[in-house]
Amino acid sequence: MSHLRIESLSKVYVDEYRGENVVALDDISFTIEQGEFVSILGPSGCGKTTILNIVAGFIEPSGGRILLGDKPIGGPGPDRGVVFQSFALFPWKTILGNVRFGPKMAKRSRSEQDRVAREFIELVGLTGFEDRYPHELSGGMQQRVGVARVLANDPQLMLMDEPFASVDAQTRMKLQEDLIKVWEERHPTIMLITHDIEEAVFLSDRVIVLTSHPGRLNRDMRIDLPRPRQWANLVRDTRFSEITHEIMGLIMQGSGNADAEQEQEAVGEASP
Amino acid sequence: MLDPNALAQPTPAQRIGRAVVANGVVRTLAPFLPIVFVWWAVAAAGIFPPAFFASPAEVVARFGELIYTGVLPGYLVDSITRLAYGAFFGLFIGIPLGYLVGISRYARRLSWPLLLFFQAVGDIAWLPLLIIWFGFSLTSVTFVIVYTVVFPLMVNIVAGIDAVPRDMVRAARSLGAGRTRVWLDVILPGSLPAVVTGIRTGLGYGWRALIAAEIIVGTSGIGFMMFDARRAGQVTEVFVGMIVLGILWYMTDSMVLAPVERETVERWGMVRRPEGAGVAR
Repeated sequence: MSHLRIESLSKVYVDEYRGENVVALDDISFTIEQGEFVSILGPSGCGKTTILNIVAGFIEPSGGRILLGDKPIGGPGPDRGVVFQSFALFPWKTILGNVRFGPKMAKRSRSEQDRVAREFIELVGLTGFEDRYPHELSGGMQQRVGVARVLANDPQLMLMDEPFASVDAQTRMKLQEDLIKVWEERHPTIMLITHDIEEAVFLSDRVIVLTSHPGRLNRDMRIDLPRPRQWANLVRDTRFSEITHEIMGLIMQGSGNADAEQEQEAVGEASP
Repeated sequence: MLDPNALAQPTPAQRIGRAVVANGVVRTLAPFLPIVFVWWAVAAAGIFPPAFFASPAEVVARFGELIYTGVLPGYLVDSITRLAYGAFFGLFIGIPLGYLVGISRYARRLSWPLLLFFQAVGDIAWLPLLIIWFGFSLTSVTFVIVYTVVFPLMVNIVAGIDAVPRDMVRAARSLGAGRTRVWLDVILPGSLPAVVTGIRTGLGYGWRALIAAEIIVGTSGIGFMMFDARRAGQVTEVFVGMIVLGILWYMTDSMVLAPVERETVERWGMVRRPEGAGVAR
């Protein structure tokens, strides 16, 4: 029994200006096991964020079903925590207040809220910043808070929507390594959305590659790189570059010519 | 002149000098010096007949007289009392109403045409009717101020609710917050910058409406004093009135509004400066 089971998921939007139906997702099926780290990878416009929004309960699918554990998912809930690209921290709450939010909503005692919040603030390396406000922290630190805030809620599934896309390249690599450490320590089940091939390969147990227009499942790849992983070791690793090249090929096949050129540019910029 | 000890240990004179520069009063008043100077120069040059254009010295003297005779303090108390009444009821009605309209798409669709219509019927346009109904009373003036405060407040709050980032609401929902908690913990604090802007704009309008109402309703107050002075040909008193208005608004802003903002929206990094209208995104 898989932890998360997505069965023939589809999403059709109505383009209000043209009055046409746009198929964003077409017959997507995959599963995620307990404690697994899975990335959904694809070019922009492939509907990968739509998958996350549906799993999170923010939008309704047009067809198919999603089971978490053995129950179908409903609206947004604390069993599925989301880490946003925009961080989405509450600016009027301190770091402690932000991380405590989940336990507070779960009506745990005040001392318990504090204990849990401090534990996860420490886990992401932000001890000493409890009383700061989000705007006083750098983008990278803010996203650490975003991760701590979700993990403090002990969700069954952590959803990450391009979490490191709005921080600079050096910070991103550090955050990726630290996310791996946190995952190795706690083994939360993670579904991460990204357009960054290397990020997906570096972090994941499995990478699910999508095609665009409409978003379909292209390949479900197991990443057999040994753990613990560090950028310093992987940059020269032949297996790592084989996998990333294979995925790059898949993505270029899977999208139109113009898209493929665009994607290649984007990949070229992203590589160190 | 130069005593080496003075460098190491500031003399009392230096300490006073530094305190003066660091002093808020000095920093507030300094920008007005050139204006006062130009004013003085224009008056001294005699470009306008003295009956039309009072000099700074005359205005200060008249200011002193008006305070000494108790006319100005009395009128000030009247004006401030009216504004306080108007502001209190304006906020009391405007803030809940703003959230009520903002809460549901339904309420908004119903009330939006009304909101725009009554906002267009300006405050002063109500005065003829109000004087017939309530006479030259505090009720009439309060009504006008409430009216001017309520609409910008409501419009700002509705816009502020819409401006709360969608991801923030989603984050709260997936952290376990129900609809009520989302309202209390996200929408309410998230729309606070807009409320603050609304209060600032509303009170600013309300203050102006008060003066206009006093000119028309005219029994007492700063606005009455100014218009009465015009009738008597007392230009100096009109000048005094204008300066008093400016000072009063500055005091309201720096003693009431700004400290509130400093402790809330500014502290949270949601607003850049008290003077700038820009809301951080």
